[in-house]
Amino acid sequence: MAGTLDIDRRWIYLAMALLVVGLYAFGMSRPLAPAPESQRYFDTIEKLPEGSIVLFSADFDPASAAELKPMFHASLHHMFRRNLRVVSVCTWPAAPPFARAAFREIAPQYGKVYGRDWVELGFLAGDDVALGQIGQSLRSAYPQDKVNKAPYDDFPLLRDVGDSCRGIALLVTISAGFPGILEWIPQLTSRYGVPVVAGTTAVQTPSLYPYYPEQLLGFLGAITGATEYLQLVAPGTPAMAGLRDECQRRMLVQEWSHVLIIGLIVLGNVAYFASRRRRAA
Amino acid sequence: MKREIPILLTVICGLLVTVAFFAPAPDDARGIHPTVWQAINSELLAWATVLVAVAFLLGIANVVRINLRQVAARHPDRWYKVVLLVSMFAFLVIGLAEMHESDLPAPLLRMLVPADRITLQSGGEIEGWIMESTPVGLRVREGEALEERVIPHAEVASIVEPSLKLWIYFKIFAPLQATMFALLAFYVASATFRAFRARSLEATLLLVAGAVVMLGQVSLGNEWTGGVAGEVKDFLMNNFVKAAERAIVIGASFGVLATGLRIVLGLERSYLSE
Amino acid sequence: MLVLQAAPPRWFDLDPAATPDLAGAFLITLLTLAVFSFLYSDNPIYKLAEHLFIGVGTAWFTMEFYESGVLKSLVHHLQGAFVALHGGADGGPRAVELGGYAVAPGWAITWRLLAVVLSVMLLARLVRRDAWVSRWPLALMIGIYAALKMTGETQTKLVKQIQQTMVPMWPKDASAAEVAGNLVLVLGLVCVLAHFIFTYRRGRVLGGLSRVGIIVLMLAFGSRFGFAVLGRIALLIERVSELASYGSPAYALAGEGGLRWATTPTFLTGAIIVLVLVIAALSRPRAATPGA
Repeated sequence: MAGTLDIDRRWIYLAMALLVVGLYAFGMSRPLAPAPESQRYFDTIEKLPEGSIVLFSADFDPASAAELKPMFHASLHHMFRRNLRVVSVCTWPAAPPFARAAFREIAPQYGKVYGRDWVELGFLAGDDVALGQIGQSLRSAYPQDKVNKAPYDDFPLLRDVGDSCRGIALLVTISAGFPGILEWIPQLTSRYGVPVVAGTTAVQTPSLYPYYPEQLLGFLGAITGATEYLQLVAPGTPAMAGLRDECQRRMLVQEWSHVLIIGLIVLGNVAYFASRRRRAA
Repeated sequence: MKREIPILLTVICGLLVTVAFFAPAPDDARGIHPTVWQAINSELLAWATVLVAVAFLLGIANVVRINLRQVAARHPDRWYKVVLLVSMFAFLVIGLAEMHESDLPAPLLRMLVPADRITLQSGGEIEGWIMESTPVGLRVREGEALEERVIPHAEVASIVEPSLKLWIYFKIFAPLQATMFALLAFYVASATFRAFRARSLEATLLLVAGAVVMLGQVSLGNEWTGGVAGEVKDFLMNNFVKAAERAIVIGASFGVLATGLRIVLGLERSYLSE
Repeated sequence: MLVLQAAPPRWFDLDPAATPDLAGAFLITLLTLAVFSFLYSDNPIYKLAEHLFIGVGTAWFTMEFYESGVLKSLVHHLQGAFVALHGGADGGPRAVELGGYAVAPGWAITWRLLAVVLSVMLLARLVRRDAWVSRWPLALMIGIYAALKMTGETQTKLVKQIQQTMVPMWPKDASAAEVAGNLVLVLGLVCVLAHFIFTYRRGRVLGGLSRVGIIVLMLAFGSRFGFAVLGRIALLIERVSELASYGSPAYALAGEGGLRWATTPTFLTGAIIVLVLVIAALSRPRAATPGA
């Protein structure tokens, strides 16, 4: 047992790889019971009056897209289904292509018109400074849009957004780290009273609990949060069924991977204490 | 003077932004109109945005300098450095060309930027470069001499806008970055086996909490434990994690407040030393 | 992860809205498996992928920062302000809005040109790392960021967090679990804060509170670890999912029945990677055998 500690780490990599590939190929769905935070995220968007303006921020990159892209797509489907108007911004430089691809795919499904129902403003550099600019005056932060490179006032939707976030009913941020939800709350929610919900990665999820539910109305934590939300959104949105099924399929792999990790912790400790006892003897 | 002026700049800009924070936020509904403080705040934040971007450009100059030096010094990995530099400059040229397609001369535009395809309601197809979408129509450069014309929106059936920049982003950059981070799954598995030891009460609590969260987050864990894992996980997150994170946040914010005050009042000077 | 496609993939297609093309599929699978090959050992194809990533990534970030910070915030702003110099109804100047406040275009141009001057001063670092002129823009940025962080974080992370902790511990109609939770929240917070007091000698009271604080912290860090595992594995599953989608018959180049999978990008590039690893392993100099 003591020799177990010297095992080449590549055997552990192989075990992980075989487990993930094998279970994914097995292809069984595992639904999840929605957590209260995910339910509140859904309810907050669901209860907005039609025509409300949502500031939708893409704050992620390809490294976190595995967890956050499903949330982004599902949220956009949900908002368009509710006939909410969406202003898209990005505070991460690698986010704009994901935002563009999502709007390009999803907006036509709801017959949405660019400029009236949604506008994409693109990336703004500066982290906290960018959020400060957006909060103080969206017109000053973005004199032009990203897609048409047209002036701010050309868009009926943007004319309804004033300074100090006047007109913005909700901020939805899909955030991977810095800058993200932990910077949006001070710059927009605390300062201008804009309600906020967030989707975030697993690593950042524990950091959100101090703000929930007073400052952060609801959140989706990690891929499990994304799956729970997709289960809530998909019934009214057939286009989401495929993504929901894919995320539920990944849950099977996720759960057995967790079992593997716990097993490795137990095995490692058993081997360690056995070797200690042997040395002591 | 070389030290005093930067400190003075820090103090002035810091105080201006701080005072602007306390200025009443404009609110048409309550008759509060924007004041000069909003202008000052906005302009200072815009300066910061510009400087952040220029600082980044400094960074890329450094990347080029370091890698060129290694190529010149015949470093063993120099051919990889060549790949780095060539791919960087090639992507920069392609991306900047797409960004400035309305300003490029015709030969460069044809070479670097793929043409857009506009299908008309009449069934015809136009190949050209869409400069912008105006309220009237699409402003397009087409033909041999790339002359501009406006195609009314009503005549347009569909648009295909190929992009080499996005192709490179989604086929090269995105999968590489995603896979680099996916490696961490293997490392975390290896680390849990080799390093996570329950040597003390604290370490044991850490491992137990981790295991409870891992089981409580997924259906299997709840099935095996009759739902207990999920309940315990929720109690852990909503109370213990909340308490600890909140304490850390409060403690850190004391530090931010103290350091921020020192900087804004000109008492902190460590950032000036080289 | 691919959405089900109706049309078969083309060999090369730059349309971002189209079905992913075959050339792209090969590139994605090759680069993904090249990075994964590092798990076996460092090898040339991994190094190539790594340097390609740095090159392409640096270029992307440069373009985005250039567009946001230079093109939009400087060039377009100044262009708009110059147009506004004679953009009024009578041919005179039209006001430019900064943060919603109307200013004369001349002032807007002057102030933004100062940003240009500061940018040039910052670029002096290219010539000399310790150029004194480059400290001015840096000092400005530090002042602005310090003020932003200080004001925003104090309001959100200090005042509001303390306010949210001052809640009734045993409200009417609360269940035992809720009361227990509130107790843990308040007492746990106090104990963790007590743990971070290093300016007093740890007596029995402070030591006891600190010990409880450590326990709360360990439970919190363990939870963080649990979530970290969840997140990392999700990233791996997504890569496997993408490899699986490009290993589907829709992307097969040829073959019938079961052998179609062997001509898909995933399996062809996998074979290439394995070949590279074998060649790298065989060409590695062997250690001399002792006593030989």
